[in-house]
Amino acid sequence: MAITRYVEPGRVALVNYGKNVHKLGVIVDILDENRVLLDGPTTGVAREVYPLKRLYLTGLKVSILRGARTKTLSKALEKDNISEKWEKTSKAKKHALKMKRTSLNDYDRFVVSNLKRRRAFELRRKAK
Amino acid sequence: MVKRFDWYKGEENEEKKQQPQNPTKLRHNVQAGQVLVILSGRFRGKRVVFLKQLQSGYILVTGPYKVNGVPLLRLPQKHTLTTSKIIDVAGVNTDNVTDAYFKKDKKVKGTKEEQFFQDGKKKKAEVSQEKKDTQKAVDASILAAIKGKTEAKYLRDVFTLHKGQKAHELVF
Repeated sequence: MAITRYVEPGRVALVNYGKNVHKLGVIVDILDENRVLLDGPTTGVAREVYPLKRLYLTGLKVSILRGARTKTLSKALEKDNISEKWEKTSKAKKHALKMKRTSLNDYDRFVVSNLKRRRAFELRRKAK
Repeated sequence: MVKRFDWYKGEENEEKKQQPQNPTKLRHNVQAGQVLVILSGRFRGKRVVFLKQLQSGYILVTGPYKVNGVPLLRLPQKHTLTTSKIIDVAGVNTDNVTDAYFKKDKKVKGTKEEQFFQDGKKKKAEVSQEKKDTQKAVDASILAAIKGKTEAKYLRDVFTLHKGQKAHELVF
């Protein structure tokens, strides 16, 4: 299978690690094999150098030129409606689910496990 | 600090023992009705309802008894884990439950041999009717508040860490 998600100016990436974890940013420039310049004006990610290992490349792309300034980038993001497109992707939905699960408190966790047990009970009852 | 000697042991000195100089500070997010998880001892893992802090600094909790078998219990705060669940305890009156309530009865006198020949079996500690009544009175309004709700099942459930769960990553 060929690589389709290239590291290129305009590639939308999700930050995996660090202070901006779980936020979206856009690759603006490439430094070398391992590092890129990332900027996320609409999500609160400052224009900074990120190692690629800390990023997850999404399938979304913004039409900007290499080294585009923050203002230009934010205009392009609005024009391409990236935030809406992102919400529709399955990765975004799975990510939201994961975040929800880690934020559950003790009572919520019990409610979930209780519902799972009841569902399993009903399924087993109907299978008979 | 000079060591204090109890030359003339009177009643005043005995009372002071129950009141520590610096009683444990109650955690800021704990209020009456908060669900706590007991971390050590006979009832470890059980979720209980916090009632109040006693004068000695210990915490008073109850199962309620009918729900999970935990009676009115006196615990050090350190042995509990605070969850964010709060149960309605508006009608609960714990004024008559103090440190004196938990004072142990005097042991049966006589050597071990004498006791052995007396009963043949080890006598099981019996709970006084007074304590049973107090337990019932305190638990009554809590049981009414959680009757038929998921909260009742929640208190019956025992807390454990499951596979993949990390205690420092869990939100309570």
